[in-house]
Parts: sequence; C-alpha cells; structure tokens
Amino acid sequence: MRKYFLIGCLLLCSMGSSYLYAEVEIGSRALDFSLPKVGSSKESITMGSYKQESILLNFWASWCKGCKKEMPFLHKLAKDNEKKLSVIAVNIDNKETKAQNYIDKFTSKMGETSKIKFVYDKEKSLPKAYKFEAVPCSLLIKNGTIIKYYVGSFDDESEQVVLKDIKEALK
Amino acid sequence: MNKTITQALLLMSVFLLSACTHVAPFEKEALASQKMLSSPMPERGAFEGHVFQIREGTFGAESGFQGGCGCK
Repeated sequence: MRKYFLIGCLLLCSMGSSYLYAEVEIGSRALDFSLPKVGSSKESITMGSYKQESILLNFWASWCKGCKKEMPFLHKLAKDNEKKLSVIAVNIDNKETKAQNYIDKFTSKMGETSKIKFVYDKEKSLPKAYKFEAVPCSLLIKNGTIIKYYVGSFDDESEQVVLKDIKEALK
Repeated sequence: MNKTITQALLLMSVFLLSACTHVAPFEKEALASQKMLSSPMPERGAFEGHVFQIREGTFGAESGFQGGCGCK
C-alpha cells in the first residue's frame, strides 16, 4: 500500500513537471486549426481551406526581437508569391492588443497592408501541440504535410535556404 | 501512515525544488519584459553583464547568451 502511494506521488510530480520540447517530424501531417484573425474575432482562418496549397506557418510574438526582425522578409515572401504561397503568422502574445499594435506599426512602416495572414492563438493550442522549443519558428507545409521546419530568426543565409525550399515546394 | 505521508510530501517537495525547468515559448513573454533586465539602462547593460559574469563566475546564464536557465 505504502509503495503504491509513493509511486502515485512520484507520478503526480512528473505529470506536473513541465512543458517538454519535441522535434517536429518532417513528413508528418500538419495539425488542423481554426484561429481568428488578429483584431477580428469573427473572421477566422482554417487550415482545411489551404490543404491544396503551400503554406509557410510562422509563429511569432511582439516581445520577440527575432520575430520582428524576420517580419519584412515574410512580408516580401507573401507579396512575391501571393498566388502560390500563403504566409500565415500565428501570434502567441498574452494579449491580442499587443499583436495588433505591432501589426499597425509594421503596416505603416512598410507603407502597405501586408499579405501575411495574421492569426491569434489565445489558447496557445498550436505551440502546445507541436511542442516548439522557441519562437520564431516556421513550418513549410505542402498539401497538408510538413516538409521543412525552421527554428530561429531568418538571416541572410537562411533566407536563401528558405527561398530555395519554397521554390522547390512550388514546383 | 503518518510517516508515509511525511515521506511522500518530502519526496514531492524534493522534486518540486528542481532548479531548472523547460519554459514554453509562450511563457517567455514575462522573461522578455524590460523589468527582467539586470540594468534599467540598456546602454549600461552590456557593461554590467560583463562585470556580473566575471564577479559571479557564471557564463551563459543571462539573456545575452544561450542556455538561459543558468544550468551551465
């Protein structure tokens, strides 16, 4: 009896321990989601509606310097490949207003409305499901399958890699 | 039975006392806050960080470096 009680306590402790990271499996199916657009709780974006397209699914936050650094690159990607590639940026801020403020600033800085589809994940359901280690990170999805996983902010070198990967994916 | 409960509670507290834990990316908002900087003046931060590392003998335990949980 005592033994089982101690084992139970140990199990309880381990259950409550923490968030454990996991590597995103390349070749696995991308998770379905339906998330509201930032600043518009009535409009939402569903993964299902992009099943036949290529998607760059980016995860970002307004407090994350690396995320903001790569935003102009994502903006250019979305603009240059508007008809072939959907760039969906999932925000994981605690408050949606922070994301909205950043998007407003970004839009005025770029001088045009971005083609990036900004969505807000209030429950952090996607990062929890994918068990990401850090933001920014991005998934390149083709026909509902994850074909590439990028961790960290894109720099000159990794931008070239992403462009090459996207070119391959859009063939 | 009381002894068992005490032992179990002690065991649980030992587990809960672990210093390092994984922080989910969406939980890092608080850590990225300005309030978490060691210096209120960003211009002075790099210098203070340098002094802190020398004084404390730590490396990699700050936001400026990788391995932020300070386990190194």
